Amino acid sequence: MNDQHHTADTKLDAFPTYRMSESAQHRIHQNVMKALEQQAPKQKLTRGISPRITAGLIAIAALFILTILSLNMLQTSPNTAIETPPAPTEPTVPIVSGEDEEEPEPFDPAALEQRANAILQALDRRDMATLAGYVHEEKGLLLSPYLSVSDSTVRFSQPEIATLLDDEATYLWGYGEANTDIRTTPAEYFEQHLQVERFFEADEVLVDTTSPESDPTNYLSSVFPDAKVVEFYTAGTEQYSGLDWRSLHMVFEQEEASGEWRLIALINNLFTP
Amino acid sequence: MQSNQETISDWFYLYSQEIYNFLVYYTGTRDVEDLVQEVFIKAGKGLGSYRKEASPKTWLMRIARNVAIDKARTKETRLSRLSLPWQDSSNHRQTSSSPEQILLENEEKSELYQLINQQKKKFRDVLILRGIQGLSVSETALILDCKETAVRTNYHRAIQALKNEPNWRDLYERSTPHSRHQT
Repeated sequence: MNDQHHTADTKLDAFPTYRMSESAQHRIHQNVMKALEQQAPKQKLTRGISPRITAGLIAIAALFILTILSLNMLQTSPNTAIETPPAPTEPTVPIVSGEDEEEPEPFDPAALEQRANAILQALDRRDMATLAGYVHEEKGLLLSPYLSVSDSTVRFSQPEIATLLDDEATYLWGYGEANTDIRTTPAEYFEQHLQVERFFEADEVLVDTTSPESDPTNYLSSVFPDAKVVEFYTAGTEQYSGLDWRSLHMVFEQEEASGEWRLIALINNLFTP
Repeated sequence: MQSNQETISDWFYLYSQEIYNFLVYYTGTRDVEDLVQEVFIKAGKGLGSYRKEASPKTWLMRIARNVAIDKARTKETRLSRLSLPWQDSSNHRQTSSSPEQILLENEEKSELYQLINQQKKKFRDVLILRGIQGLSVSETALILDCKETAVRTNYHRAIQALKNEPNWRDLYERSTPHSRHQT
């Protein structure tokens, strides 16, 4: 039997190797670089640093400058200098440490799942007013047809959501097969890409964990480090060897003022890297 | 530090031919240049999600496989039961380089390739990756995102399945007249 295995191996080995012509290779290389160039400046921006972090950074910078200043002023008595810096910076210090240490209320996965289900129903009813009620006031709502978020991902502010389906304009939601534009109106996007109805019978609803199939690299947590994600996952069918699975990720972030988990992104996911 | 574009550019020259060769066999057509392009664009955009433990090559192969499957799905074709290469009416490349004809240049290869294409998807995957592309078990496992034991088992079973095909016996006997194998 091993002999036969060997024969089979050798046969498989002996297939010719196909190569692109050099000119084709160069042409493709150029196209790839061009495509990535257009993308590059946007990618660097990584969806705006959260205001909280910005505030923290400013506070730290202020603290640093003040420390240097006071050290300079009190150069003659270094011992007291070390103790005095906190005094002038007092107002900034509690802001920095308070923000970091204070864990708001404990996270309740069941409550978030309930919220996600309510959103799913609102989406299915096309009840945009209700949906708007769940959307993050500052961050608005990102919509992406694939597991990909960049600065060019379509985002609507919370007030825009309520009338979103009346919007006749077309948006570039992302890129589909062979880099073709996905360019539709919001209503069409809901129909063709969001496909909410498929997720009522989700095979799995994952709260704050990622399914290895849909997000093996933990992409979402790298893009939304402070977020909690509810994933509705429908397994693929046998007809397509399971590859027609789909997921809808609802991404929530906690609103600072209310401590409430608010929707910031609806991200579809299907078989793409 | 290298920019994303530089990294992808390097990887392109290192691996694009291998990706091309893989896509030819995986899709059954030589007309895969667009797919190669898509693979590297996707890789460039998704470089942030590249896990360092995977080699660039297996990562790119994985993207390539996904791109090919996606493509097949939009064509509403089932890869695993494909007996003919895709006919893309919008494509005007010379038909003389269609994959079928190229593979037909060697009848035995062509038949074997047909047999491989008729296998279940999971068998076909390992036959192409392990067998035709000659990748290691661990590389194949990384590309398919499964355990190495699964690759070994599936490869073993896939070879068995090939040998159980009536055509395989014809092929086998024809190419090795003094066959040691009992009929």
